[in-house]
Amino acid sequence: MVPGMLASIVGYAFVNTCVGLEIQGQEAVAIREMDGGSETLATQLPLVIGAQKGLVEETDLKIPNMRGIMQARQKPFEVVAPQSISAKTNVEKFEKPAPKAEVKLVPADDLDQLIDLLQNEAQVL
Amino acid sequence: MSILVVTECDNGKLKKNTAEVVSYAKAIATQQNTQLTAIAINCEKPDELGRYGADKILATRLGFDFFDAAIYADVVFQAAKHEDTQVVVLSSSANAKYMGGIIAAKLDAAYVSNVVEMPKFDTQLTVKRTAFSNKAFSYTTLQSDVCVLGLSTNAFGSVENMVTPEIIEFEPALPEQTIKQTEISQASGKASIADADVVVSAGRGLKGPENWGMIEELADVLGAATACSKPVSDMGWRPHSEHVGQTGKPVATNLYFAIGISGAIQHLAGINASKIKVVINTDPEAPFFKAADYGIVGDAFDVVPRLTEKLKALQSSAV
Repeated sequence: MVPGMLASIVGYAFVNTCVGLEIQGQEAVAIREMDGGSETLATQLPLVIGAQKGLVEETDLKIPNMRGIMQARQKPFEVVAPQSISAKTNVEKFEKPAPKAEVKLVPADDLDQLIDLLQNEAQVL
Repeated sequence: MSILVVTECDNGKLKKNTAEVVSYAKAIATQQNTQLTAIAINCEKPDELGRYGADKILATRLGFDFFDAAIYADVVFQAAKHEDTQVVVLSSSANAKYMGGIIAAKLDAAYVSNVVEMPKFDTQLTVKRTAFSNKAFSYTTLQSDVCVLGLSTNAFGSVENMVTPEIIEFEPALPEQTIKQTEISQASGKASIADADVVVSAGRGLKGPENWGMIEELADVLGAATACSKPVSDMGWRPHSEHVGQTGKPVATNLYFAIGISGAIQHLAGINASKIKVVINTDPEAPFFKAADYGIVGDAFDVVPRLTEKLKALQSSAV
C-alpha cells in the first residue's frame, strides 16, 4: 500500500510487484508480476518501485565488508526533524485465531478415503 | 452513506473475485440502508454485476487494453467523487493492490487491506483484518471521511442478490498516460495461484527439479495451480512466481496440497488462509501435520502418482 500512496502524493510514476528493472537515463523498463503472469512496462523517471522478491537474486546481494561498514561512518548523516502527522488508522486490539482441530491422518494405502473425505466431508473436490 | 465497489475484468470478462467483492460491498450497503454502486472499467457485460446486487454501475471504456494503475486509480477516484463515496471496496488482486494506494492517497482516505469481515460503523469504522501474516487478527479503526477496504480473498463468500442495475456510461477526463506495456507473458490455460480453487505445492522433499512432473500431473487433473516453498524457488528448481509463504505469494485457496514441505512457520504464514490443507510427508513429526486438516504419512513418490491415477479414474467415470 505504501509505495502507491507515496507515488501518488509526490506525483511520481509507479510500478508495483517489480521483479526486473533497467534504467537508462530517464527511461525505465520494469517487469511487473501480475496474477498469473508478468508484463513489461516502460515509463520515465522519477519513479517509485514496489520491489518484489526476485528483483535481485540472492546470489547478487552485496553484503558490505568490514572496511565498507567502517567507512560508512564518514558519510554525511542528515537528521530530519519528524513531522507531526496523525495516522488515519489505529489498531484497537489483536486476537488469536480459533484453536485448530487435530489433523485427520489417512493411511497411505487408503487414498480412496482421502478422496472421500475431500469430496464429502470437506467438500472441496 | 455511499458505497463504491471496484470490479475488475480480464480481457473484458469479469474476474473470479467479482462475486465475492460485490457480495461483500452489497452486504455493507444493505446494512447501511443504501444502494450499491459499482465501477466497471473495460467490461463487456457490466449488467452481470446485477447478479450480486450492484444497483448502479458506472461503466467506463478506456482506449487501451492493459492495466494502467495510475489511470484506473484516477477513474475510480473520479467515480468516488461523482458518487460522494464514503466506503470504497477493493479486492486483494495484484491489480487492486497496485492501484489501491493511489486511490487512497487521492481520496485522502484511510486504507486497510486483508479485511475478513463486515465493518462496524460507530463514530468511526472498525474492521477485522488478518495480521502478522495470518498468525492473528486485528481490529482496526479508520479515522477519515472516506475509507478504502481491501477484502481478503476467500474470506466472505459470494451471495446472489439479483437486481436490475442502472448502467451509466461514465466518461471522466483522463490524465495523460505515462506508462506503456511493451510485453506480456501469461501462463496460458493454467490457473493462477491467486484465483485457483486448488493449489498443489511441493518442497524440498521432492529432492530435485526433475521430480516435479508428478506435481504438475496432479495439478492438471485437479485444474490446480502449482506452487512451491521458498528453498525450492531460491535454488532455482521452480520459478519465483511459484513461491508461496510469508515472503512469497499468499494463498487463500479452498484446497491446498503440501507435498514434501515440512511446514516452517514462514511457509504456514503465507498459506494458512487456505480453507483445507492436505499434507503428504514421510516425516510424521513434520510441523505441517499440526497445521493440516488431513495428512498422509508416506512417500510422495508413491502417494502422489497413485492419487493422480485415482482422481483421473474418478473423472473419467463421472463423465
